[in-house]
Amino acid sequence: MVLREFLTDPAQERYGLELSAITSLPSGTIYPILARLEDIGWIESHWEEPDAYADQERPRRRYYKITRDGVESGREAIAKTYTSRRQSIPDWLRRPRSAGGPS
Amino acid sequence: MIQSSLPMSLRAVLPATCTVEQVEQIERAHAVAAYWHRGQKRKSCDPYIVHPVAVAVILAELGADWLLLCAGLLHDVPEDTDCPESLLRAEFGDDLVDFLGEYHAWDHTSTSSVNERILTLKLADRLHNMRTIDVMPPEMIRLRSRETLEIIVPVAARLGLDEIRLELESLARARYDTSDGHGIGLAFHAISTGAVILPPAARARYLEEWLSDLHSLPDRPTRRRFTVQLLAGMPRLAAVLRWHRLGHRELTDAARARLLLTTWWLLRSNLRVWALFTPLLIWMVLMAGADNPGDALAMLITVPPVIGAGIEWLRPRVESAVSRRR
Repeated sequence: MVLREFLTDPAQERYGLELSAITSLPSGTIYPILARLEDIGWIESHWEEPDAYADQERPRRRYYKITRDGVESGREAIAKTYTSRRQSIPDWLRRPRSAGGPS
Repeated sequence: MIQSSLPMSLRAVLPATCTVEQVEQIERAHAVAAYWHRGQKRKSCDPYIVHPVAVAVILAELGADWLLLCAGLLHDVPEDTDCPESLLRAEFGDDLVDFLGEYHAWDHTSTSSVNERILTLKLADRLHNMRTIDVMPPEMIRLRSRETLEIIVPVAARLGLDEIRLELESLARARYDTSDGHGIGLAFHAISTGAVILPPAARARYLEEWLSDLHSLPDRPTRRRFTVQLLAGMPRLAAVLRWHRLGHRELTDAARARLLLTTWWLLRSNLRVWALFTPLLIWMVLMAGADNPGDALAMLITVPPVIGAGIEWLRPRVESAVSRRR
């Protein structure tokens, strides 16, 4: 579910709590998943820019974003799961066919 | 006797306007600091000289001149080493030594009459100390963080150093939460205690991340739910963060089997599980109780069921892994 969220819009950056709300997964599940994905290089993370939280009265957030490798490997891994379950691959998982797509 | 080459981290950020003589003075300041701090260690076990060099790098990035860089490199020499003051005067002149004297004499009570260069050095010193504070005892972390929020952050604001202000504020707020009125402090305390099982190198990053999450949650019940769920997932996160190190060493099949069987041996008996967790629980409760007896009670009520649920969740999974292997 986490990977699906990242793959739906690979350019979108998300923070942990936001992903937890979107996927309805508990915080204790989200962070180990993010740590694992980051460890294998499928996602990367960085601290929020100072301008963004300057007037927010809260500490900075850590944002996660899918890497190019994550897009490729993630799509393949999920497609394999669908194939092994004999289900048709959903549209959001299909690679963009336009010229200049991910190399 | 004294020999030095300036570390690359500092050489790379030296002001472009420095003359050859000024660079030589900076190199001498580094050599003198390295010599007199020799054998001293930071709490992190790094050689002490790492700190003055990091302070000088922060100063250089702020656009400080060569004299302030020398002061940054030497700032702890008069107080923390046996270096005779006369030697520093002979090497670097009265201005720099008097400056360091004023620096150490400043007691933080008033900032209005203090030289801006002293305040800038203080900011750089505190920024590096806050970046590396997680090796200090918890009470010291709270104390320094509070002081940072109350005194040092306003200084950074006054000097218009916004990036430093924001970083200091973020580092300090992550370690000293001031909003106990909303239950954030208690929740963060429980999370910090649970996070002791994470690898030390990763702990500060996740704690800061979760404190930000706690601030973003709308009310006390959602924060409580977030905290309990996070604590329940902590062993899993610890395993992921620690496992990747083992993974790089390619665990052999035999080692993996041994690890699995040991885990199963431990989990099979409630007695063994609680013999392992009870001392940890007592320690957590005592730590929490030292600050606030309410925290200790909350911890005593919430943590055992969380551990129990975690064990119940883990037991069938480990059992099926063991039986698959057999």
